[in-house]
Amino acid sequence: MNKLRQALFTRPRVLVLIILSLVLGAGVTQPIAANKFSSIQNQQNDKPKYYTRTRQTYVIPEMILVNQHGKNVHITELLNNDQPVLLQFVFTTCATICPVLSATFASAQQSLQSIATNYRMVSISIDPEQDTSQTLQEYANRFKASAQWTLLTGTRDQIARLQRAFNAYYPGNNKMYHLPYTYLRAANSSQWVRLEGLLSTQNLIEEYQQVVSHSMQ
Amino acid sequence: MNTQTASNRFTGSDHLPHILLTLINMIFFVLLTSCAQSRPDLGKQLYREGKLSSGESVSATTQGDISFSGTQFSCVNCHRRSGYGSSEGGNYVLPVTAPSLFNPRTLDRANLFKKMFKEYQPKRFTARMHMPQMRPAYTDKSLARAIREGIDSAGTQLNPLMPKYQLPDEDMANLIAYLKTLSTMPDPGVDQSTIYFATVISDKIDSVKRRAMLQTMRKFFEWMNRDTRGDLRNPNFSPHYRTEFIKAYRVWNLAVWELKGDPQSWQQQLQVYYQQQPVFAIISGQVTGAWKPVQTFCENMEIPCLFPHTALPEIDKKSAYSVYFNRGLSLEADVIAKQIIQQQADKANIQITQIYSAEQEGMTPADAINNTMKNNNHVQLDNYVFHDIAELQSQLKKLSEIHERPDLLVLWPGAYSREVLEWLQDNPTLANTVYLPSKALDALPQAIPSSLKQRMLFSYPYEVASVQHPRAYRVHAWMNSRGIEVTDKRLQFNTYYALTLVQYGLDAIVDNFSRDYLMEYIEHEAENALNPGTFPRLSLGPGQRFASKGAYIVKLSADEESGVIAVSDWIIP
Ligand code: HEC
Repeated sequence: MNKLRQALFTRPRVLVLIILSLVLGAGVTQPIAANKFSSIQNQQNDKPKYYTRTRQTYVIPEMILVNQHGKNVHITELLNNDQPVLLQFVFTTCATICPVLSATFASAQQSLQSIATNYRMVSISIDPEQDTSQTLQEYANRFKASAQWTLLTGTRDQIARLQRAFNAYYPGNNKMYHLPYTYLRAANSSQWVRLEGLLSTQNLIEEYQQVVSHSMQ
Repeated sequence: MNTQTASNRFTGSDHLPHILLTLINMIFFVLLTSCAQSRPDLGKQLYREGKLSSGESVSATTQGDISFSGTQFSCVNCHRRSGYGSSEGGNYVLPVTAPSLFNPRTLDRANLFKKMFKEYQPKRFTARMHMPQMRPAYTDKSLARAIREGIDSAGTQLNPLMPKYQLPDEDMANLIAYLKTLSTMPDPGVDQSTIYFATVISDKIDSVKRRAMLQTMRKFFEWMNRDTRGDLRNPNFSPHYRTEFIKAYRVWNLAVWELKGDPQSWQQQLQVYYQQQPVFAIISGQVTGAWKPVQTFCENMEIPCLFPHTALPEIDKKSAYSVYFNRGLSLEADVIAKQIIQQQADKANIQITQIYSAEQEGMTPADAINNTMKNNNHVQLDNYVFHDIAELQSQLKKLSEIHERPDLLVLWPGAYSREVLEWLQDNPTLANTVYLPSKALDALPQAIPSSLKQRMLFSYPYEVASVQHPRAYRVHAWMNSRGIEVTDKRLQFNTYYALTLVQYGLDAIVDNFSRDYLMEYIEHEAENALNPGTFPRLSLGPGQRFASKGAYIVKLSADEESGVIAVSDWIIP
């Protein structure tokens, strides 16, 4: 009976704040439309949203990671500067959600240009031992990543620290339980918008536009 | 014959076989007419590779507005080979096996149990599990609508993660024909009462290592079955959910498949064993030389081959059924190469002498070193190969006669660890630094002169003893209480890891006895708390084949007792 007992006395389940979707009408927290963009969403004939948004301040620890070209990158230099930043945690063998996360970046690359040209996209591997810089380069090619898209790997400890800094550490010490987050930050800001859930291209563009225009006021 | 069976149809129970035949004929007829055009094999290609029958890539849109074509988003990515779906990042991918699509959705709590209790899931996910939308069985028409428009058989909009595919009718028919075959039957190696496993062991395996592995496995099976029998005999014991699990209980049966003689004949020997009694999976195992013949057998027969003890795994990105602890000697060679290049970074000229045995155990790592170094113009690499002890000695002698002592010596002794180490003992200052594989540590002579000790470095793809893992203590206690002699800790702990992972995997798949599903569980769950401390970390992911990815460089400690000390970080080449 050990097996069942083991299964029953299970590890604590994490409660993560996600809206079930407006269709099911089970919004849990963090109303999405509580901002000036609500008008645009209404125009979009009430399409259901599958993500939530919060505003956060993060302190990013200094560390040197390695990019897809095998070059060292100071993370604070990359993230704390006068470029708007879009950031995600992914890994290259992840089959279900990471391809979608990265595909959202890929398909928004062009449109983001026309909003604020000098953005920086960052995908950080949460499976750094598997994802060497060469593997990241192949992944970047798959998604036709432009020069503005940096993919990063490092040691396990570095990545774990970074995930904690972004409050993105997965439960159960198993990367397979990671959740889909996208983080947006305006130039020279320490405020981040944290989006949880999978986005459409349009979602990402709108959110980006809002972050950028917010900072310009 | 058809008419005869038909006329006998209702004449009594002793004609049951005839009735069956008729039924089979009828089913066959229906299949023939309805599937005259469709090609499940092409449907499988579409499911797994995203390729249309025209040879072009399939196009689709996910999340409403992300268009793509190609293998990135083929069905297999999300629904997996087994079709049982997956749960990743809190997104639950519904199963698309034939039994689940072509039946109304009901609440089978046993199957939901896994998702609800074994995994960390965000609230949205558990909500989806507690209130799955009921829906009728799919028809070909409603299934096509789900795949093209993302609307299920109840008319409900599916989550936009499920892409909308642009499929020509012909390809749709092929795909549906394939889905009708997906995970319809239990895989071979399991019957109503028993699940069959095998382990593989070749002749010439050291008897201590053989016994260490087999005793651990036999005790594990014995205790598993004792627990199962106890549960089955005691029906009143159970809480209310138990009846839903009873269908999953099987006695575990272990066959030891002994391989003899020439490795070229192993595949055939395996085939004979398999014909006598098919197995659901092969667990652990040890062979002399390369594991390749066993891997080839497993891939051909689609049998999970889980965590054998081998330094020569077959490295093949397309493999779907073989998982290993690590890349073995080719990993050790890559780590040594990386360490040398880092250590010598400031030198304009790095001189390396490499001596290797002409067996696989020597050639595989030597080739890896040659490969890494060949494009580095700072490196000068001299190779010496030997086929037997006499040749080894003459090569080493030649080397000691070169009046300038080599700076870096890399040795791959293969089966000749003892001889190589003895020679080093007599010639401790042969080179400034000598790199050796971890296996040489098993053949260390008694007293090593300190002049040699200081010069020797080993690749070490394991955890170093100074680090305590919480699970190591539990595994030790388990072995003690079962009266298992721990004669080869790493080998036995690793065997135990493989067994517990299979045990958890079978718990999770309940009675969906699909080998693919088990593999998917193992890929998903290798990175959990079961690591017995033999490696710093064990983890897989979809399609990953090697659970541990790096190695330390270690030296021998100054005193005799404390083994090895890491002189590098955990290096990932
Ligand atoms: C990017 C991931 C992804 C890919 C690729 C994908 N699916 Fe899905 N599929 C899903 C998800 C997620 C669901 C569940 C949607 C929901 O919960 O509403 C689903 C649901 C379905 C369903 C409905 C099952 C039911 O019980 O109602 C069918 C049928 C299906 N998928 C077939 C396919 C086929 C066939 C392909 C390939 C041509 C495919 N899917 C590719 C993610 C995917």
